[in-house]
Amino acid sequence: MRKVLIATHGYLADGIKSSVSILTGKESCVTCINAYVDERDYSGDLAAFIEGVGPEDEAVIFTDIYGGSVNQKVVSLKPEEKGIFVITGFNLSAVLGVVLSTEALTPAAVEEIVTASARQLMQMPKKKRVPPPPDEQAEEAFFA
Amino acid sequence: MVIQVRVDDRLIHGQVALVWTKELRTSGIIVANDGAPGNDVLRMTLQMATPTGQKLLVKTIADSARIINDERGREKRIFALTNSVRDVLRLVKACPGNIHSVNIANAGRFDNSDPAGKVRLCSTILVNPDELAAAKELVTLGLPVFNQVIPENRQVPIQELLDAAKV
Repeated sequence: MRKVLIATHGYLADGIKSSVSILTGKESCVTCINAYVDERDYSGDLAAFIEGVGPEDEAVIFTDIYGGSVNQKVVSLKPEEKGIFVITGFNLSAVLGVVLSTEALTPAAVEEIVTASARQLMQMPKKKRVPPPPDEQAEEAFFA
Repeated sequence: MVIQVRVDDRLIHGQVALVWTKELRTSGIIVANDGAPGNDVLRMTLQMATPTGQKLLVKTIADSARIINDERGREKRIFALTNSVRDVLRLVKACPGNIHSVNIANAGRFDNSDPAGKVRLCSTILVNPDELAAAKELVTLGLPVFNQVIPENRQVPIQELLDAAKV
């Protein structure tokens, strides 16, 4: 079973889960930890997620920021010992990539998702719009 | 061969295109819409939403029909999109035998028609009187017509929704 944990400062985790839900309907595999919104010690929640990952599961933990305490806490629990992937500085594209992947989540597959989604962070080009190719050419290419 | 025409009031957007082109194993997308080819901004956003590796054509309904009926497309798996039921009806009637199914996924949320005259067939389909008439005709044409927002959902026959809404 595929299991995803999103752990962030504040409600970013809930927010991303809401986006995933609207776009894919597959949010049931996603657990959220919104750290520091109250007095609760979230380490217990982190440990519980890791504890709950079995040998037949594929699990990924997303954290918001590399140097942050949330990521530090996750890393200190050594999730890699259970084969759990940790992705920090996630964007929506990365979470979608993991949730929607129809192939097995191997280290290579996860690396591919990370690389592809990192490329999604870009400025919108201000350059002049390129006119579309002439119809015949576009149609040739469509049927090629 | 068009494996599925999807009616979606947002045309191509985000992960929907990616999920469905993977699910249906298509090589190309046709956006069939009379206003779209002349609209540069819309063309650009449609291109942005097209998954890498899929070819995109943005054509009027008439030109889309011509492409769909083209011999060269017979062995290709194509995904088509319209943003209204009226448009998909026109397309299906113009391409007998070349469209395999119709998925009315999201419709009627942005068409600026009078909300009072609309019927809600399900949470994502809202039809004004013209769209309702088009839907009723579509289900008589002998091809599967259903509602399926994402592949995980059941394909709910539109006839079932029409019956439940007693229209």
